[in-house]
Amino acid sequence: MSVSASAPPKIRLNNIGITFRPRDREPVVAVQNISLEVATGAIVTVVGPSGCGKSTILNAVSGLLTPSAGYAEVDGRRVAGIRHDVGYMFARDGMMPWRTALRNVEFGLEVRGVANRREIARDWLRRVGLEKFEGHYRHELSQGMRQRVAVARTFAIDPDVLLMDEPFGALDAQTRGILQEELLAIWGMTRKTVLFVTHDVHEAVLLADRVVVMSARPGRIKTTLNIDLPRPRVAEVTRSQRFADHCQEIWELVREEALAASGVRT
Amino acid sequence: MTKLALRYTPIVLLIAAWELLSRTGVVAKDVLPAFSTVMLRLWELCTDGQMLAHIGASMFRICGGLALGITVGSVLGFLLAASTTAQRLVQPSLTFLYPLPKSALIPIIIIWLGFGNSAQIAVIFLGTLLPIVLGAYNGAKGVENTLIWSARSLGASVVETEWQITFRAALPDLLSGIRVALALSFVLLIGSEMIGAQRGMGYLIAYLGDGGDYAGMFAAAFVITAIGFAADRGYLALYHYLLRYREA
Repeated sequence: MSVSASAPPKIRLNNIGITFRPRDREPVVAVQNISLEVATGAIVTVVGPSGCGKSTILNAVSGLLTPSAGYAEVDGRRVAGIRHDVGYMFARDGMMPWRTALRNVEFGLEVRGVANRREIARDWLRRVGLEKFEGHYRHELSQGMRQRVAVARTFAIDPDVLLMDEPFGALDAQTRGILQEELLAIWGMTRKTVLFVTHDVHEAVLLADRVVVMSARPGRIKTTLNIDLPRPRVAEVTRSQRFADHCQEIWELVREEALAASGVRT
Repeated sequence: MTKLALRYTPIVLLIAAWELLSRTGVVAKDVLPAFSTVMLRLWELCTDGQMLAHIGASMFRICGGLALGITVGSVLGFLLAASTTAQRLVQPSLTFLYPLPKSALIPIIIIWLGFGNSAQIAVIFLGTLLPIVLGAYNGAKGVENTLIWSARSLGASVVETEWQITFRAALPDLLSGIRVALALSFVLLIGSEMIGAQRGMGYLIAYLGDGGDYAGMFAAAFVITAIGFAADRGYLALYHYLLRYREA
């Protein structure tokens, strides 16, 4: 899929700055001068040291948070208030423990008044391999299964844009690897526009068309790198020297910032 | 089988000791009528229809007071959790009300509301309000942000999120608060009926006691204990049913 240079970006961050003003304390500048464009159907990952405001950027795109400066656009329209065409996934699964897996996936369709919601929810549970677990409650599912439910729930509402905030960060390495593959497979079929925050450099390179490296707080965009690796990202790709070089380069950049954030001078 | 025996043997032994102490005269019969005497008197009180009328009056008050307490308490608790303005307005009054023994209000409320049902209902309402408010408040405050954000980004409105997420997530804490309120409601019921009522189990206990009918008094106390126990067990069953999605 090629996007012509003139096509407008799906997501545009326009010089965004976000400052938190907690009561009785000094204001905290979370991010500054963030400008970024994500083309339709692309996956852009954001890496940076913890506390650099990665998640804050996603909140600005989703409308959960209004930036102190600048603005975010989706489809050329300025984000004001919570957008319902934007799917959002978090590190915690956000599964409602009082609903079964199936009814969790149905939730978004239910509040939108979709008639054949059961059918759609079943289909998505099947796609994430949980068709046998539709009647299970949260405590009966493993971490990985819960996060799969979250994937199914997010995709079920068919959002144009997916915001993912370290969605696999709480999983063990094997499960994370499997879910990354599944996400890429689903993305391959649906070609959603994805903005994905992670602290895992390997994950960032594996998924991305482009990796954004953030600086330590106040978070700024330090560098963006194009990942010109072929898709699908099968084992031959991820074991290639170019993949390793990308990881190495990004890891060096993140390391500098992580050290700066912890006060160590390099 | 042995488990069952272990559970109920102490109770059987206690009743046997009670019977023995009274029969042998170790404790005066007037002060502690024998268990069998109490049961016989219980049968009389039940068969002549008195008991049922008193039970009915008491249950009406408990239900009324609790229904009010649960409704107002839940709404207030959720409101306090949702709005800092509401919290500023109401918190001082609640903090003041918290250490106050609610039974101290009984005489005052009887002066205000007279000897009808409303006084007992008001006492139960006021006395059960706080644990319910606290349950709803703590439950609503403890809702995981991820749940709220997920629901909002999936398209739920603020009202839908309050109802489908905050309320549901707060339910375990709210239900625990209501269980405390249920136990308190019996204490307040008997206390308020002893002072200002012409009917009800509290009235009956006081009346029989004043008249020297100690076996009847024990019988009435036995009945209200049994009702309280059954109410708690029934509530517990409902609690587990409503929260059946949780780990056992």
